[in-house]
Amino acid sequence: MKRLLCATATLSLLATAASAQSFTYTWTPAGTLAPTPPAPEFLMFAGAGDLYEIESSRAVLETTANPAIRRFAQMMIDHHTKTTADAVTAARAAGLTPAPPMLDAPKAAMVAALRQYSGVERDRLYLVQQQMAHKEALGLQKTYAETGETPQLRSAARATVPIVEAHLAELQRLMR
Amino acid sequence: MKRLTTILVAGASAAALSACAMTPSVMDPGLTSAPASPMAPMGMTARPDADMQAVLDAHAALGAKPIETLTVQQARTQPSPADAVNRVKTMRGMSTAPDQTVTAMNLTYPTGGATQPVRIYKPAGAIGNNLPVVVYYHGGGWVIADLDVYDATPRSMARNLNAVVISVEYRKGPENKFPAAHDDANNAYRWVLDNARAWGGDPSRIAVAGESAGANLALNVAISARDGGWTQPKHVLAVYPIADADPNLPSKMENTASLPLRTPTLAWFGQYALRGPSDQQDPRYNLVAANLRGLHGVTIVNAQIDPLNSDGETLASALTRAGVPTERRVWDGSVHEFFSMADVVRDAYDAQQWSFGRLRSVLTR
Repeated sequence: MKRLLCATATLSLLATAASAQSFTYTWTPAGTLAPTPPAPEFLMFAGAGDLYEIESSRAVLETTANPAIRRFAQMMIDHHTKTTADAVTAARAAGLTPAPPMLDAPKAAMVAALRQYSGVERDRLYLVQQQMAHKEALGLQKTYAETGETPQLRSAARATVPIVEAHLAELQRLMR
Repeated sequence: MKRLTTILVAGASAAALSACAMTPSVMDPGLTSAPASPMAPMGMTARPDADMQAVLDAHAALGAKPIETLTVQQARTQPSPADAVNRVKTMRGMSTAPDQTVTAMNLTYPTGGATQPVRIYKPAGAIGNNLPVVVYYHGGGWVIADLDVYDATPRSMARNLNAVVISVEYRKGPENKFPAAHDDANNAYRWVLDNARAWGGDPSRIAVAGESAGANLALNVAISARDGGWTQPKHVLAVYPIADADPNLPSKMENTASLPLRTPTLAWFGQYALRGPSDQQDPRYNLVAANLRGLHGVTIVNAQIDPLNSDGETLASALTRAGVPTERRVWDGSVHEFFSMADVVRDAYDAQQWSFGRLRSVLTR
């Protein structure tokens, strides 16, 4: 009983942040976000996504013995550092000042979960997380590329879409 | 999650938290300070609660893959949700040994010209010849899983109800398609009626229970008992039953990427368990269209993040329309298979306490 209570208390801390589940942005069956986020929210989501990619890839590089995952993780760090930089450049060109990227609670929890495992277990969880995160990133970028209000950011999103698609294809190969 | 918060505010929190301060996820300052996201998770009704997510993470870390991406053989042998629970227990320094206060005895019952296994659970200290009896049917879409994968629920039920619980194996697809499992479920129930006294059970105080495909079996056994003139179960505990063939129900539209069960997984199960798509219109599958009158009472447990959540909702409506006393609860932030995870998932503990309490009140009356 003490164990249960212990586990329960531990988890409740995390849950309080995540349990208020009323979402402003939801997914359509076509995999786009509705409504289309305005520029500041788009930048916040994209920045959090990039930062998660970078942080989780750093975490897996600390422990992986798999050369293919090592290559992929390094590529994630490089590409997602670049997509954040491109989004900031596009935002400034549109006269916006984006806030520095930060992890939201769900993404911070994902990185923390990765760090609870090591070796091949961390590799496997990393790949499952990456696939979900990239599907959401693709949906976000597609949404903004198609219906975003700020032209400069729309262009940046259009350029990001094929990068994310290539990552998803590579993930499919790694998960076979 | 709400009840949990109340418990913590009530006072146990400070001591419990300091005792658990070494847990890495809590020590991570980014976790407690990071803002909630206004973006919904993709392909899921909601985000799993943290203790639920921990089991899903363990399942992924063990190498479990979405069932619909696997062959039948792979799906039967890959790490199970029960393995994921044990992985979490190991991480928390908890024992993974089955509860030894409940004894388990393996037997077989005759069905389909051969036999199938059953496991009989009984509290180790139970005495007397008139314990309540529950016949339990495991899940797995009538294709995968077995008595071992679903050991936790019947074991917990035996302890909590002080009852003899008989967990029933049955023939599965694609080797034995619909309605082989349903025939076995009925044969097992009648065999228990005939034999319960030998294990100290009182066959007049009998209920049926099941999870997922097994919940569908339990409901069908209650219907068969009514029609066959057998002793009817006093109650049915149906945990996320398969009960409605409609593919456009809200939870099936929403949970296309949930784990361990998502809408495409249901199609995969159907492909191997059924003789063809028309079996979905059989009232044994599509229970919402079955004659439900005369059942003695049904308790339905659902998880919010589960393509079968709406099946529970439409079934509860159909039962109520048929005059069957029915109660249903949905656990927010929980996924399919959560019910058996009471040792590590708070909602599962609560769902067991609630539903076993309802069984107890009927069986000890």
